[in-house]
Amino acid sequence: MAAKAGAAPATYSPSPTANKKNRPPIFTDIDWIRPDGRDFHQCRPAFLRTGAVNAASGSAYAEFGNTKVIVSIFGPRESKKAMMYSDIGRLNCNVSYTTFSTPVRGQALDNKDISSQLHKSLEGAIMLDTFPKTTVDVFALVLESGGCDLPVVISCASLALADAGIMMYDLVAAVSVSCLGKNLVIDPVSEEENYQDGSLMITCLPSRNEVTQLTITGEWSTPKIHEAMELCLDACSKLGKIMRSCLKESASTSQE
Amino acid sequence: MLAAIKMEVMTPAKETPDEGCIAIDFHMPAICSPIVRPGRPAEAAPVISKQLSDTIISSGMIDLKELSLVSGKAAWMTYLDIYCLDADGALFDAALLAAAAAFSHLQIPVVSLNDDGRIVVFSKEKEGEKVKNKPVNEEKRKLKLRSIPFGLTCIIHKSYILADPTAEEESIMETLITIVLDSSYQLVSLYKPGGPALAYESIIQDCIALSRQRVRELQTILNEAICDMEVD
Repeated sequence: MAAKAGAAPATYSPSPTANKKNRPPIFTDIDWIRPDGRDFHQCRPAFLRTGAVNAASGSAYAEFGNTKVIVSIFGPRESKKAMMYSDIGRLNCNVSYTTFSTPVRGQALDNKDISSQLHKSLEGAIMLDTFPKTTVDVFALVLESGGCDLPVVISCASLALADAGIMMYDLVAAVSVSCLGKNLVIDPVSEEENYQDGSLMITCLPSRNEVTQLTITGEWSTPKIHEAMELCLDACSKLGKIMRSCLKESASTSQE
Repeated sequence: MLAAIKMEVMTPAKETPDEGCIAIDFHMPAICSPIVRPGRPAEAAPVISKQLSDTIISSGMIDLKELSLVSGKAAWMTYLDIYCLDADGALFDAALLAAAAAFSHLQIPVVSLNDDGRIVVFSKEKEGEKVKNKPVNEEKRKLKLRSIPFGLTCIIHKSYILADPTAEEESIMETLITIVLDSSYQLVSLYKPGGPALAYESIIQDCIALSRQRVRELQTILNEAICDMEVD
């Protein structure tokens, strides 16, 4: 059992979360209480602030329940030398997780996938032709992962872009819904995400009523999709208002 | 700066059967500064990592014996990860303060030894059925920090001393000197990485005097923060 000298000793986490594969029966019932006591159609309280990182040209911090995210924007700055000439600007997105963001250390998700999804959902909202030949870097760091990471990153990134003064058609608001048995739950926490049957995420431009990205995974029936989309769009427009008021607030304080 | 501690259980090395281990990592993610790009880690990060672990371990702030659970069988492996969220100079000083704060806030979970010889979190619900598995570390819930090190970085330019430089100042000036004193004003480390300007004895004395002042300030700030956390 003793580790050989020189080799790194094997470590393990003493918490019992690792070997819990079966979903608790509670989630299959029609009536159950969500882990944080919310209604099924109630979002977590959102806290948004711009100007979190002074070294960046624009930045934002978002906190939705336990999910905490910082996004910094750098640029527009010169594209790398190896890149081809381009009439329109480029967007470079990267999402990373802290080692302590997940319950087990260093067990972060595949962030390439999340980075490309962030890219796709922002691309449609940014006026790329306003900064030709240059690149805007969008870097996100998930400080704590508490479920719904991608939608929070997307909303926070669009707020940071606005803070950096990058021209956009509209803010991008993102909300996801999970399907758990017979129920639809909006803005799921990690625990619910682990046991979900399917998930749906919409990123939209609330005031133009345009959808930049729609992702559906898992098992869905057509009426369910309709219901979930309506829920999401409604929540997006509310989130859009919160984001707008956050920007207004920061603009009015900086003027003083 | 954001620091967090995760603890895992490990089998201690044979030479030190009743000591735990601390692994310190300093990260500079792409968000913190325009010079860092993803995929290409900043040069400064491993340097600061090493400096931090040297300082923390050599200052004797933490007694590694306190991290022991069962002698020769199990001990805590403590991972301290510090993330720089916004890089604006004197990163080492801020990281050291964050590390000290994280260690003073650290709450160790109560664990017990189960039948297979593995350590599991002691939960109150199972108390009735598993009376025989007594918690092994009931009285070791907090680390005793003996002396807390504090750092101060100064820039030396001709005969001027600039304390606590910003990122811009650091990029222009070449001579840096970092002094670490502990809470009883004992010198823990003095670090001057190259640079053309000669560090005269008098300048170093002045820097140490400045650090003394700074230690006093930082101590009150840290104590206030810890008090606030205990109230919550």
